Amino acid sequence: MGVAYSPPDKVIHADLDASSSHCLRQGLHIAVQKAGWVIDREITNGFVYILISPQDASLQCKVQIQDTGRQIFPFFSPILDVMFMDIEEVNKSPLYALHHTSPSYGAPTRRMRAHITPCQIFTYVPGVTHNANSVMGGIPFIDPNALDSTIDLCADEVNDLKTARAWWSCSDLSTADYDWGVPSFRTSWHAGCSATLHNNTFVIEPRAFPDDSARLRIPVMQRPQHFLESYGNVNSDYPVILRWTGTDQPLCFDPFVAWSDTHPVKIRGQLWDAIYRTQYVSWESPLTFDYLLWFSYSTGERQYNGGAPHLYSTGDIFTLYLRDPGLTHFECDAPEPEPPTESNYAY
Amino acid sequence: MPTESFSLAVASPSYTGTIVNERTTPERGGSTLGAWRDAMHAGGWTDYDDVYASITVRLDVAQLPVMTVPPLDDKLDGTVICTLRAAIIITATGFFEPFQIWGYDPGAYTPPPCDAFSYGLTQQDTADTFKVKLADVLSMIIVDTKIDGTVETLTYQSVAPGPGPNGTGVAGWVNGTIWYGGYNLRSETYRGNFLDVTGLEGPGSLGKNHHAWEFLAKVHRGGAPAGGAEQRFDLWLDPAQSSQLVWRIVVCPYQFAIWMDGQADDTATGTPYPRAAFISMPWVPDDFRGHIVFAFVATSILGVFRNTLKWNGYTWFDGGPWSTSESSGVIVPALRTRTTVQTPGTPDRLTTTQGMLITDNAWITAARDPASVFVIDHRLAGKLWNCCTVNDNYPSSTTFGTMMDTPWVHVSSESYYPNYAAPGVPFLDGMQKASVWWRVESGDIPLPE
Repeated sequence: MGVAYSPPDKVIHADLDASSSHCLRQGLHIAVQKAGWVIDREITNGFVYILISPQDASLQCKVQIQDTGRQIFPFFSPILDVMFMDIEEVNKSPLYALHHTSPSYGAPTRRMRAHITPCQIFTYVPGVTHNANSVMGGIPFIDPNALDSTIDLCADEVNDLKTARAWWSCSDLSTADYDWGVPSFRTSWHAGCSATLHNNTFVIEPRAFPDDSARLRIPVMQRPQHFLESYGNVNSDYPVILRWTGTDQPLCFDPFVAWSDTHPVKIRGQLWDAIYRTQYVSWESPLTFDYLLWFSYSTGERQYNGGAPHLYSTGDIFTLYLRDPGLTHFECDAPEPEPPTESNYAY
Repeated sequence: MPTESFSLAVASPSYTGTIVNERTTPERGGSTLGAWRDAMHAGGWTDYDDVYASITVRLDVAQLPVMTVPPLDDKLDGTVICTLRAAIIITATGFFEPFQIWGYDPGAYTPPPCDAFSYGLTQQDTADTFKVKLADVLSMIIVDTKIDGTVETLTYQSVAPGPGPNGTGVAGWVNGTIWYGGYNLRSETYRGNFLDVTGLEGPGSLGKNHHAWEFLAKVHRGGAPAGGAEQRFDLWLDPAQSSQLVWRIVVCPYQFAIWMDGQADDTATGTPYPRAAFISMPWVPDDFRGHIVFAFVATSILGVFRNTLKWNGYTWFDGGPWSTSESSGVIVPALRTRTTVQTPGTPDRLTTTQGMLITDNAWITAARDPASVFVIDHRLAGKLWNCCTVNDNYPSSTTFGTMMDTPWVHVSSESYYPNYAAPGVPFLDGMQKASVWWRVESGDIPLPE
């Protein structure tokens, strides 16, 4: 379909002061509003926001960001709770954890980043995976032919399967025990702990040890199964084959998101302002693509030469890139920051 | 599209049709090669060079008239068989081993268990009358004569290019026919390069007593034949599975494919015979500099070609030799969603929530190193013209489909493990269903409703 671009002024790459609950919540509060999130209501030590898809205003969901005083292992470190839910607040994700303050995670100078668009968020700490740093989710871009609001229905389509609402979410920490790190789009092409909604079908997956029944994933390119049968794991780092002969340049693909409660998963939509490339790069590597700047969000093990290939690694399979408008620095109790002076938008 | 969203590499015209080998008549060579040429023309290929049917006749005048007693086999005592002591030896050379037959007197003896021919020659014939009679029965002319003592070596050639005349005149009771004439077709030029493919009919790589289409593919780099750029391959017309062999051919200006229509394998015969081929000089981006020209000839039994997205065959990059390494064939990647397979059931059919299938580019990978045997050495080499992958698989009997309001031909499907409940390696690595389709514009195609 091509990249699903949000309005340029609504793409925020936030550099947040995460040295305390107050500072992280304050920074996120300002940043998400700059991206177009709407305040639904204020709650104790937090807010509930409404996310509205730029594609169709009828596509909405809510995100709650709150400090309930909860602490998690290890070190009984304090966290913020992030929860995705539908607009009626009936179907709710687990409480995804975001660390702040803990000396073990960089306090008192701890900082966190968030890539925020009108209906999507990815948080991370540069150079770090797992341990309650990465929470992500949102409303995907929907194939226009599948939108419930589409009035020009095709006669041969199954129109009762049109999409009226959809959102996805996942994090890097198991919400079953808040102990084990799990794959997320920060580290892999599938999520180990997720919650998703499509129309009235809600699927929640709090697993600590994901396997093939993990629900949420990004379909990626691979060779036919026949090859693994022929050559086994010796050549299990097969994604290198998806780079061009001679130039070694990778391909760039649309990151579809797919999930179901059972296999086969269904493609529900596409991530906003994102691409994936068939080449491993390290964390937060810059890229110029389609006349815009991007940064690598996912990372993982470079190769995996044994067992079930790439079960826990992203690496050579793909790197997920997010469009980078330049960092906006949100300092605690400081005046509202100005956007980056040098915009990379090509519009 | 900035990302690699589905974008068909279009090469027009794109034609499909069928070619029928009638197995009840020996005159099959000319008609099927002609049908092949017609199909290639319909797909944008043009006649490139003349190919005349030609045979060499070695005539030992001192032994004429033809042998009155079949010679004894030197190696098998008491066994009657032909040897090179025969008075007449006809040699036909195609793209594989030369094919020889020996003369005998059909009026006096039961045919020996060897290759021989009957051409109406009698013991009253002299060398001179034989030469004329042979030319008449073959509708050929003598274009070259060499004399060495009592041995004359004559080259007979058809009077017109194309498949040779009815070969039954020299076929005798043996299965072999010796037309060895055919057509030489040229692709359109792509990035300054083109393919030429010659099709003949003869015994093929298995040799005498067999019947095959013999092909020779050449890559012309910058307009001139490139060194080491020739690759021969064949398709088998025997043993007969039925009185007719029906071939599906799909052609566009830079590639063509041919296979047994509607069939997946040759299990009925118990022996694998190559009955599918895919020849292509694939699409690459305009500014691509990773290679100058890449071409491949995928040819193998249908069980491989039609049932997987990994095709055995030969690949060729720039000035290098053709790779014949089995693992240096061609891979067509496809989308996946499984991590492991722990859920018994049927393989995945990747769709949207509406059940709409995912159409993707038919990327292909190949190993540039001809000696490579590792998949890890594969890299992207291009994209098949007019082709896409679809994340579902289909039986080989599925020939046509309609997608995006246009007709497509089903090329192959990944169905190596059609059921994930089956034990084995699929446990390690999940695979979606996937298939390759070729969009066609003309031919015997059903129009979309």
